[in-house]
Amino acid sequence: MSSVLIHAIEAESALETLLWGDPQTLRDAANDATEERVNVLQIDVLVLDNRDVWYEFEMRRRLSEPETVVFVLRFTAETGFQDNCVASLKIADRTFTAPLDADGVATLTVPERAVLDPKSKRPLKPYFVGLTCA
Amino acid sequence: MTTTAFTPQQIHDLVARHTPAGTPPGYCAILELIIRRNLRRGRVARVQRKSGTPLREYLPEYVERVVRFRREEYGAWLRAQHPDQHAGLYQTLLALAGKVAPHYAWVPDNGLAAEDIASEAFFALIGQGRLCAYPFDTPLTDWLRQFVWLRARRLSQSGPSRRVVTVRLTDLNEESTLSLPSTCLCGKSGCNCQEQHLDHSTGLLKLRPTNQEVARLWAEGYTVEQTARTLGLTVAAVNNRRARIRQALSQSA
Repeated sequence: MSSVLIHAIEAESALETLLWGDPQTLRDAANDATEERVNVLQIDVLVLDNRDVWYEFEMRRRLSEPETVVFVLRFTAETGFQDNCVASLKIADRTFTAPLDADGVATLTVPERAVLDPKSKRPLKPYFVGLTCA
Repeated sequence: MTTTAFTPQQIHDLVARHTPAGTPPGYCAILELIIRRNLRRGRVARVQRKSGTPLREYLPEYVERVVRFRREEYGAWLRAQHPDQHAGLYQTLLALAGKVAPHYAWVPDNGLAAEDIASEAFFALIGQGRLCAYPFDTPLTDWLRQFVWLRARRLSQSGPSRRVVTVRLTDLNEESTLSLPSTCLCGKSGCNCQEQHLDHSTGLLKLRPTNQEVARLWAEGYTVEQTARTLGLTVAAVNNRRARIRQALSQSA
């Protein structure tokens, strides 16, 4: 079992920019007359088992689902992945996990309250992106 | 963050044009991600400005560079991340820092020592994972030279990064006896921890996760206010947590 977890600082900055303000701002991010809005938060690399694994970290907001935020982690490795890899996203103290599909994509549906601090109305931090392969 | 007018499809087409037929799709996909990341981070624009060619016309040339340096430097870049190679990487940084240090003789308290610059660069590259930021558009050694210059400039500025303490690489869970200066955890302005030798890996492990995070940010030079903002805590809470961290570290030392 090998595992790596890295601090996604760039994604935090991107979220700060996108979600600054009250929860309405978060909802407005999806509210530009399209059902779904996609923002790429970060493109970066991590090293697992002595090979580089690149990932694209997206946030998706759906007009019809204002209470949830969908994070998509799309991993790419030169030789692909074995069947049993699991992506994790740690936001503040909460960890969300999802298995990688055949295309190396993990989709994590996160409640809005896990993304925005209910008091300060600011995005919760820090963000860590991880990958575990058996 | 820098946005660009290039779509992923355009990058895909450019990469396809500049790689030999039969190149595995996974390899091309990584090249595309490298270029998109470099565009987002403004790296391409910075390199392009030096060339004097408009970005749209420059991009094919840039793609060619990434294709070339990914091929030529990949092995060295990956090896440099391996713990077995860290002593060698440090020696490389030390040699580069030796040429930079004389330019910082003006810094108070006898200027910047090459060892301090090399250690600061090493800590950022390995301890903070900045080696992953290598853009594959220039030889690795050239990029490391630029990196050493940037870290020297950072060290020459006032603030927490000037306060250094020797920590062992066990902090990074690596089996190496190499010691390096890092940001001081004594937490008082103007403190001088240069003579202290702490191995705080055990102490840090005893801390609760949030306190470990506070300690990590502290070591990175975050102020109390910045830490509070980053972790969503109050300033008083950060001060309390720092006190507990200091206590834990002094016990483990």
